Amino acid sequence: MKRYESVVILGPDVSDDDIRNFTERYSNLIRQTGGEIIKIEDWGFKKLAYKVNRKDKGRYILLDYVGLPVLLNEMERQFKISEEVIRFLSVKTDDNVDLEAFKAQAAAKAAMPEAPVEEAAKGEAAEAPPAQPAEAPPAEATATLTPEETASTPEPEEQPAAEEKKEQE
Amino acid sequence: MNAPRGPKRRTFARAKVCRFCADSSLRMDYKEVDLLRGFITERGKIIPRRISGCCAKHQRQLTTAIKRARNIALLPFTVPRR
Repeated sequence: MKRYESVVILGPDVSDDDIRNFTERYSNLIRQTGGEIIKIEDWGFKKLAYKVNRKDKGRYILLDYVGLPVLLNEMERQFKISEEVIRFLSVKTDDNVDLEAFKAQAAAKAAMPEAPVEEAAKGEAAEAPPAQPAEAPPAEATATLTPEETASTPEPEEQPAAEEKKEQE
Repeated sequence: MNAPRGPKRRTFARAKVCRFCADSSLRMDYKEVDLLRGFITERGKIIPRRISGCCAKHQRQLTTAIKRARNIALLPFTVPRR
């Protein structure tokens, strides 16, 4: 298993729903192939340093995940096909990731600050037996993380403004 | 152009030590645009090692970081003259 990082630029006219669909689609794809999502970041709208497909603004999404090289091929194939993606860049950040060890670590980290949330999530997903806490929590953690990240639209508004200022200087 | 006069012809304000070696908290990453901006000229060119003062290892990392950032439109390839 390897760890990858993909930065995807979506066109300027995508809605928050589109972003949600987008992240959901790729989250599912990653999980289906036995990978795991570590984090999804939404950088909001940013001014592009140069025009891409005649657009000068774009919405940046960062996907950080673990998976097999086959997964990366499939991801990139889909990025190329999809119309909303105007540019993407994938970088391998770690060559050898032991997914089980990683999950256990993430679970330990997740268990600390938000123990009640985790329990509630476990109650919903009845399939996870309480004897194996190391298996279920990472999936829950990322699942709860996804809507939060995508919902945080007001915050990114500040970033492009700061960018533009710098460029004027 | 003036003819070279003596050994003091060119003086660069050259950084003596590599900033990345001196400060380990600086992370070389294509996402750190603000940091990378300090290593390109106004026209968007990468500042050479001779002037930036980076050690070979970090200059190499810097180059890939800038090139990656260019690819996702975080940094310009060129800045057209106005």
